[in-house]
Amino acid sequence: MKWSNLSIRRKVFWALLASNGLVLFFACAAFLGYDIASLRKSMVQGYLTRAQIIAVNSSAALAFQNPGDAADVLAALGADRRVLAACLYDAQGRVFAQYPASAPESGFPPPGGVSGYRQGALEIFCPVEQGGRRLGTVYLRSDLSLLTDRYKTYALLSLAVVAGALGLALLLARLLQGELVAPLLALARTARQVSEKGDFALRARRFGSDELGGLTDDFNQMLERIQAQDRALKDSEANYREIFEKAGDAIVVLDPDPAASQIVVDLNTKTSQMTGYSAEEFKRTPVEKLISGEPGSRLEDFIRWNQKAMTEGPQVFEWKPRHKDGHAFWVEVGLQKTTLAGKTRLVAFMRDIADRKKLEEITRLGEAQAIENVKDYAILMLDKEGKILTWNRGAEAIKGYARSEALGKFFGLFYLPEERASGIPEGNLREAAQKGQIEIEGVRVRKDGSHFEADVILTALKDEKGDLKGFIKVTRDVTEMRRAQREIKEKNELLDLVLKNIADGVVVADEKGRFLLFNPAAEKISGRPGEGAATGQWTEQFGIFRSDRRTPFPEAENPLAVAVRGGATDNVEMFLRNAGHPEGVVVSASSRPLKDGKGANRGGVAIFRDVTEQKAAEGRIREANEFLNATLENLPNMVFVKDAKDLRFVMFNRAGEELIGVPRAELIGKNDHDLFPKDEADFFTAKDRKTLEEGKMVDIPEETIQTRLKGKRVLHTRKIPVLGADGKPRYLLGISEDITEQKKQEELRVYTKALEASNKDLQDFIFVASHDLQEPLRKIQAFGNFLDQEEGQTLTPTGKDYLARIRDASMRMSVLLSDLLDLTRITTRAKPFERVELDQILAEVASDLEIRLKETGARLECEKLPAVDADPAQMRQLFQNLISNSLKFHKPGQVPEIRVRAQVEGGQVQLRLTDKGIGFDPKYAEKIFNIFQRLHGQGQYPGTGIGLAICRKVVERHGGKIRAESREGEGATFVISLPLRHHPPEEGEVESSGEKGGVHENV
Amino acid sequence: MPALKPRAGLLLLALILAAAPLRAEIPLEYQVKAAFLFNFAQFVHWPASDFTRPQEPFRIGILGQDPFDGFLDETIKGEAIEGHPLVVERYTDATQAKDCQVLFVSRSEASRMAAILSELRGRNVLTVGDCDGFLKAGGVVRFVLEKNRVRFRVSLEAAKAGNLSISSRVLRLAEIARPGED
Repeated sequence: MKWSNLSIRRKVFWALLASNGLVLFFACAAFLGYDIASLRKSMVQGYLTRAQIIAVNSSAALAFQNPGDAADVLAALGADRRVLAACLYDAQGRVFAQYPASAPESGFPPPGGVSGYRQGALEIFCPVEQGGRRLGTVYLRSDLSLLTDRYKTYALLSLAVVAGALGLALLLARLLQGELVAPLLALARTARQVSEKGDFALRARRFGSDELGGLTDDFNQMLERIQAQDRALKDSEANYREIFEKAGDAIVVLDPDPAASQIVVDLNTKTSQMTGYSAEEFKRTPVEKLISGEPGSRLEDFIRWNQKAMTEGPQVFEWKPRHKDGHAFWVEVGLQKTTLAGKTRLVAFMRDIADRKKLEEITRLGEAQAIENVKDYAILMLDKEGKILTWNRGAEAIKGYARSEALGKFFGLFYLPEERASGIPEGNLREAAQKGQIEIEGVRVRKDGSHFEADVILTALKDEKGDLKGFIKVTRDVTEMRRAQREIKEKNELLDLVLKNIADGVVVADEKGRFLLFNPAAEKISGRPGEGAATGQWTEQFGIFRSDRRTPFPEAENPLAVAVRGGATDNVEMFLRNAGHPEGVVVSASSRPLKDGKGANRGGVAIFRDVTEQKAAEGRIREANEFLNATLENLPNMVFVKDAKDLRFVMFNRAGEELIGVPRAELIGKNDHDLFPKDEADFFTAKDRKTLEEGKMVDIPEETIQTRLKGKRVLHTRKIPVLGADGKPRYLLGISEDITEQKKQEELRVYTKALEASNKDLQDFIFVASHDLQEPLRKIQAFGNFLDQEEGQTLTPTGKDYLARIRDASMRMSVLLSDLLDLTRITTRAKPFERVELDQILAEVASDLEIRLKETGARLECEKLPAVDADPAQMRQLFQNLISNSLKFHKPGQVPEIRVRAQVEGGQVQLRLTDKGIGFDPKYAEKIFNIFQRLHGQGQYPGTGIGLAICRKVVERHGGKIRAESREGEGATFVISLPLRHHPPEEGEVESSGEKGGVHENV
Repeated sequence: MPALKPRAGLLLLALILAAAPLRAEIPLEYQVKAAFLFNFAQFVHWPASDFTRPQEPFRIGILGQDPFDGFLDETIKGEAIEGHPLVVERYTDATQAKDCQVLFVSRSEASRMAAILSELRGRNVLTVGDCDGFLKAGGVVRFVLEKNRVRFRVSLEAAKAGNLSISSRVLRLAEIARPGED
């Protein structure tokens, strides 16, 4: 069943139920919403506070990298079962410690999230900071059981409240029904009776004074009013006829249809009185009685007025009908279309206006009087020949003649004498007669002879037949007006001249944005004429862009558009590119609104100029500056600038910043005393003053400076005064080169040179000594031999023993001397490097040592060896010494085994020479290469202790390295690295070595 | 333009966790110790009278041979403690070290340790060392290696004598040495 068809009883019941239910629902919803929102907020705050406590407690653990401690702090969260997980991120965002310990690390989101509710949980992020440094982040996740518990409680509570309230509403609805509905039903019954019987005398019963009582009263009153109107309608018929007949105007009702059989439908008695015809006469031949045939009141006029009233609405006009007795009389007719009894009719009200017509006659006379009194215009009547007939006050005031002086005179009196002489006044009259009216501008003469400028209107007066009767001449003194006009014109011309000749473009637009003015400069700068430019399309038509030269300039921001809207702009930069300027121009524009005296907006003016060159120049200067700055920034030398006034730093380049070890921001604005120890600062300042006073560059070859990070540095500094526009020093430019390393190198070079000299002296000494000692030694050996051979038999066994010892010692000394000579020769007899096949060298050495190899039964195994750039003699010596060494230190009772292997890598060859000899303690691995270093007694293993020293020297001369690896009793390995290739030795080196060789040969 | 300095904390962690390939030549242990020296500066409170003016630098001193090879300078570069810019100073003698806030006593000074610490007694200096017997001799903090991690022991007695208050958050991470212990 539809709601509108339900009985009122049911409607009341449901309405009560629904309104109660809705109130309860919204009240519960609002309360619930507020409470849940505040609970959610307080929950976030609570956990945030907990996270902050953790952050404070774990800052040290993070800083000192103690995850265990951090985990302890987090473990305290176990007290709250709602906390699902928590962790601590370090500054890199890695998980540093977590709770619970078993939680998977992937379960934690990246740090830096925002605290809040997501995915059914509350997530809290809180930074860990110490002294403003970010050390990490605390993350905490809690479930929402607190919230869901609360939701459940509310749902149960709300259900109970709603059920109770609805029960009560049900009870109330039943009680109210009887009270409300009964009177309504009674009222409905009465209304039905009235409409069925049409009896307006019936009245409804009233139950009380509430709204229903009021409704019953209104219903009864309405019945009364209907009863009264029914009576009034019957009276009005009679009233209408009465009014129609008694009206002051003659009233005629016409049928507007031209084909109608009866044109006059009805007329009142007044019409008969006014025209003299009876109603019957009128209806028979109506038209003749309404028209008179006088001009304006003919048959065609009658038809015209009727049509007008039908199509254009009510018409009022004057009309002249003819009375039955034959005289025509004036009436005013009000003619209007109306509908009577469903038919279209024209009703004419006619009023006698004979009195008004008389009044009009009098008024015409009054006008003549008015002309007489006009002061600002001279109004005169002239006869056909131009003689003055009338003279008003204006004429007297403008021309200075009294009426009596002027009347009867020819009007040429006011013309200039020369005009009068050439017949101009007569000419004017002829022209006016011909054209009806002419306007003349000219100079006229007053009675006192003074001139004035006049505007004259000369009108010819003609009668109905067109015959000339005379003229009316209206003259106005326009001297002042003309003067003012001339002044305005001159000003305008000046303004125009200015606008045409100034270099700035000037454009004026009205409030709708149409151009009122577009001066030639504007045309030149904008590249096109202003005509034809449409408002709202300037950007497109003039090709306007922003200064990036790409973005179209927004129409609304166009300075002129802004001014037209009442705003103002200053120096707006725009870029224009169009057919007039294919390359484009940069334009700077300013604009102002134009306001009239009342402050209303009348449009705007924009002034702009071409700043292309200026911009280009600025760009070039900026580029030059950037280039200079980049150059200064990247110079390896420190460059700084001080203010000449107070010697404070105003500029520092990067090299300077790095040298001093202080960021630029801290250097700028400081002086030397702020930055350096007093003695240094005093020195710098003194040099600064000297430079500024002398006005020329000062060179400081060496100065020391205490820097923050690099300690004391030595600088070579040049200080140059930079002059200002007034020729006085404005800045001090300093350029410093850090020559600390250079100085050190120099010292090192001197030291090296001294060392080289003393080394050479020593070598010379060794060479000379060993060379010269050979001689006496050979004598000792020779005579020892002689003694043995010749006197051997005579010597006692003790003598023989002594002699053997002498010979043995001298032999060892000889070997020693020859080894020493070999050692010195490595440098003194050095030969240029050549390509050497190491295989071949090793084969030669093996053949040289053949006897000893055979004696000992030694095995020599050798891999394929590469070729190197080397001194072949020295290579031979190297292998010989090493193999001899291995043979010498073989294990007693064992066959010596020597293996040579080679490995080529990265331009180097690594040779490994391994034996199975007695080896040595690794702590001697370095020592054994020192000269005269021996690990064994002479008796055990004879030797000079020079062999390995020679090896090292040879290898080092070849740019290689040698080292030994061994353990006592487990053999030894000698590892030699040699470069495969040497660059050809420089010429000086070759020469000097050759020279040395020569010298020693001589010695 | 001066390059933006990395935050010291970041630098420290980057070095510890990424094993600092750029600084392979100094042992990781000393990189960590350098970072810890900077951390002590943050977590220890010095008496206000230690600084006579607001911009006075906060000095971290190294007495003896510098084992950090410039790494400490890099760590504290551009950092400041309560407005006092951090600087590293190197001393050869204990008398030079009297005005610094944190002093690292290098292993090279092990033999002179007792003399150095008695020279500094009563000064507001947080002495830090990694030699055996450092705390016994009157030092405040001693680095120890524990399961290949750098930990530290603190002598509260020595800290009190130097009028230094060490944050409880740090003390929780430290082993506290009883008087006479090392």
